[in-house]
Amino acid sequence: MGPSGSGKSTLLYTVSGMNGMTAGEVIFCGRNLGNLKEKELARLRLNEMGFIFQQMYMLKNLTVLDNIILPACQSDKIRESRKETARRGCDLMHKLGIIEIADNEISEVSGGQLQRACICRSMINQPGMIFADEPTGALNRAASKEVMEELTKINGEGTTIMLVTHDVRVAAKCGRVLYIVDGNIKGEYNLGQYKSREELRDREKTLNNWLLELGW
Amino acid sequence: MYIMDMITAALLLIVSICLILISLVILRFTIHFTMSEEYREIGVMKAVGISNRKIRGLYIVKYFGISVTGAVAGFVCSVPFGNVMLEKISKNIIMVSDKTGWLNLICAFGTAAVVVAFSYFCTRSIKRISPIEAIRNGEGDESYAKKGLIHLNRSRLPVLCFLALNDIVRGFRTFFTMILIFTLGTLLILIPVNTANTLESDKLIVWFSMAECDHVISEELFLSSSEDNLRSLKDKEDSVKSVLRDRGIEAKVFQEIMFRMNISKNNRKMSSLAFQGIGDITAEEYVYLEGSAPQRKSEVAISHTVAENIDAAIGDDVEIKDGETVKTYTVTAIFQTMNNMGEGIRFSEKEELDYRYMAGCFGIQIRYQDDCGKEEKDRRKAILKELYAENKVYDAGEYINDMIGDMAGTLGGIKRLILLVVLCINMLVTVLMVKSFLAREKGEIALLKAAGFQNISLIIWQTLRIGIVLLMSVILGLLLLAPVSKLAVEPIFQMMGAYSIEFDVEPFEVYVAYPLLVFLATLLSAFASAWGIKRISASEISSIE
Repeated sequence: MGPSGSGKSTLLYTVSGMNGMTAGEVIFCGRNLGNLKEKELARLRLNEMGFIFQQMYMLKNLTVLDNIILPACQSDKIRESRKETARRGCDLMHKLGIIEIADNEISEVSGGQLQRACICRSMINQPGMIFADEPTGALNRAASKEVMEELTKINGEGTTIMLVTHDVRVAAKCGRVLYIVDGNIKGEYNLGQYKSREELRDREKTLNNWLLELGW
Repeated sequence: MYIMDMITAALLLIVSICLILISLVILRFTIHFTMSEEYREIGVMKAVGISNRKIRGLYIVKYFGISVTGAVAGFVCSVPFGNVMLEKISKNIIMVSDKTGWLNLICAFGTAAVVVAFSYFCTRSIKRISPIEAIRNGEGDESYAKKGLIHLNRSRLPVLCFLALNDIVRGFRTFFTMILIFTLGTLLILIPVNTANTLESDKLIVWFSMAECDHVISEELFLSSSEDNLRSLKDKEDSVKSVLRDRGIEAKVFQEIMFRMNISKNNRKMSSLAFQGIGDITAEEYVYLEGSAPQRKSEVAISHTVAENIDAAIGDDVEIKDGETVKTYTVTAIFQTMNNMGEGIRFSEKEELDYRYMAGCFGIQIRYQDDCGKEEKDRRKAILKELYAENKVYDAGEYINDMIGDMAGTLGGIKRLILLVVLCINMLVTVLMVKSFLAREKGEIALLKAAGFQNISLIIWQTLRIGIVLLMSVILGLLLLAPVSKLAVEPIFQMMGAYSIEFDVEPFEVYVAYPLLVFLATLLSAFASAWGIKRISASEISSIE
C-alpha cells in the first residue's frame, strides 16, 4: 500500500521482471532476475507468473475464452492439445462463475466479469505467483468483493499473490502488508490468515489505525 | 516506330494513374489514423464549442500546406524530366506544341486541389464524433472489433499465425487499405511485364500481318518497276530452300510482300497497306479474327481498322485499285494488324497483282517441317547465320522487335523502373502501417509482453500480418491480372490495330520471381519496422489509458 506515486507498481513490476532494476537483486524461484536475458525473463513470466491489472486489459480481437487460454497456447509448460487447453480454460471460468461468457466478445461483458476472466488468464499456466496491480481499482463495490473472494480462494489453495491496492478492505484480506512512501518501505504489518468475517472487520480497523499512524 | 512510343506513353499514363490512386488511398489512411489518434482532442474541441467546419479546417490547412509544397516541388521537377521525355518522344511523334509549361503548372496545382478536396471528403466523419464518447473512451470508433469468425480454442493454427489472421479478419477495414495498395502494386508490376514479354514473344509476328515461322532472314530488296520483282524474290526463296534441303532440313520458305492501295466501298474510301504471301504459303495460314481466308482470286480479307473506316463487313463487295486497274473483291474475313495503325488488306496467293507497284517486302520466313526443339532450332539458326553472313538471322520475336525499334528493350527499362517504384511504395506503406499499428496497439503489445510473449514472437506476429495481407493481395492481383490487362492495355493495342491480343505469360517470372521479390522487400521492411516492439516495455501497460 502507499500513496499515489510512492512506487508500489514500480516495485511490483520490478519484482516480476517487467522493469529492469537499478540496484539490489530479485531472487525468484532461486534465480536472480537481474542476470536473466529478456528471453528468459519472458519465459519465466509466461510459465511461472500471472498478472492482473487495474484496467481489464485483454486483446480486443479475441473472445473471453481465447484471451484466457492465449498464454497456455504459447507456453510449452503443460504439454496438451488445444482442445485440452480450452477445457482447462473452461474449468477455470466455471470455477470463477463466468463460464456463460466464454464465447463473448470482451466488449459484451461487465467489468467484474472481465476482471475474473483476467484472474483466469493469470492462472491458466498454473503459476507459482500472481502479481496484481490494483485489481479492484476499476470495479464497483460488489464486483470488487467478488474478485477479492476469488483471489483469497486462490491464495488459500497455495498460490502466492502480491498485490498493490489503495483499499484497506482489500489489504485486510492479505497476510502481510507493506506501506511504501517515496520508494521506501515505511512500515510492515503481518496480519496472518483470517478465519471469520468478524475477524476480517477487526483486521480492517487495526490496519486502518496502523496506516493512519504512518500518515495515510 | 512512333506507334511504339505511343505504347510507352500510354503505359506510363496508366502507371501514373495507378500511382495517384495509391497516394489517395495512403492519404485516406493517414487522415483516418491521425483522426483516430486525436479522437479525444476532437471530442474536447467539440465539447468547448468549436464547430465541425472549423475542426475540419484544421486538417485541411495542414493538407493544403503539404499538397502545395508537393505541387511546387512536382512542377519544378517536371521541367527537366518533362523536357527529356518530350525530346525523346518528339523524335517519332509530331508534337502540336513544345511549350508545355502552363500545362505542367495547371496539372501540378490541379493535383494539389484534388488532394485538398479529397482531404475534406475524408474528414467528414468528424461530424459523427460524439464529444462525450470521445472524451470518455479516447479511442476511435474502431476500438471494438466485430464478432470473430475464427476462434483460438477451435483452431489448429500456431498462436502467432492465428493472431495475425484473426486481426485481419476482424479489422478488415484497416487492412483493406494495404490490400488495395499491394494489389495495385502487383498489377503495376505484372501488366508491363506481360506487355513486354508479349512484345518480345514469337507470337507477335502474327499481329504484323505475317504468318508464324521459326526464323527470318533479313532481306535487302532493291525494287524496280518491272515484273522482275516477284521473280527475284521467288529465286531467293528457292535458293534458301535448296540450301536447307542439302543439309537435310525440310522447311517451308515464304515471304510477305507489301503494296499501298486504295480501297473503297460506296462513297467511303481509304489508302491502306495490302499484303500477299509468296512462296510456300497460302492465305489460310494467316490468323483471322472472323470469317475464312480468301481462297479465290476475287476474295480478300481486310483489317478491323479498314473495315471500320470504309464500313465494310464480311460478304460485302469492295473496290481495290491495283496499279492502274480497279477490281471488285468480296470480303471473306476480318483480321488484325499493327502495321501502320491497323491498315491491312490480304489477297489470296492465287491473285495475280501488278508486281510493278510493290512497295516492299518483309524478311524471308522459314518454317521447319519437323517438330524440332529449341536446341535444334538454335543449331539451325547458327547454320543460317553462317550461310547468310551478309544478312541478319532472327527468331520471329527478334525480327519484330528489331522492326519496331527494340520496343521490348524500352519496355524492359520501364518494367525495371516500375518495379523499383512499386517496391519503394510497398516498403513505405509497410513502414507507415506497422508504425501506426505499434502506436495503436501499444497496450496490447505491453500486455502480451507482460504475459510472457518474447519480443521476437511479437515481431513475427506483426510481420505475419503484413505477410498474409501481401499474400492475399498478390493472389488477388494475379486473379485480376487478365481482366485488368484487358481493360487497361487492350485499348492501347486497339488504337494500333490489334483487337484481340493474347498476353504471353512467363509463369516463372509472373508467378514466382516478381511475387517473391515483392515478398522479400515488403516482409523485410515489415520486420525492420516491427523491431520497434523492443522499445515497448511490459510495464508500460500501467500507463496506458
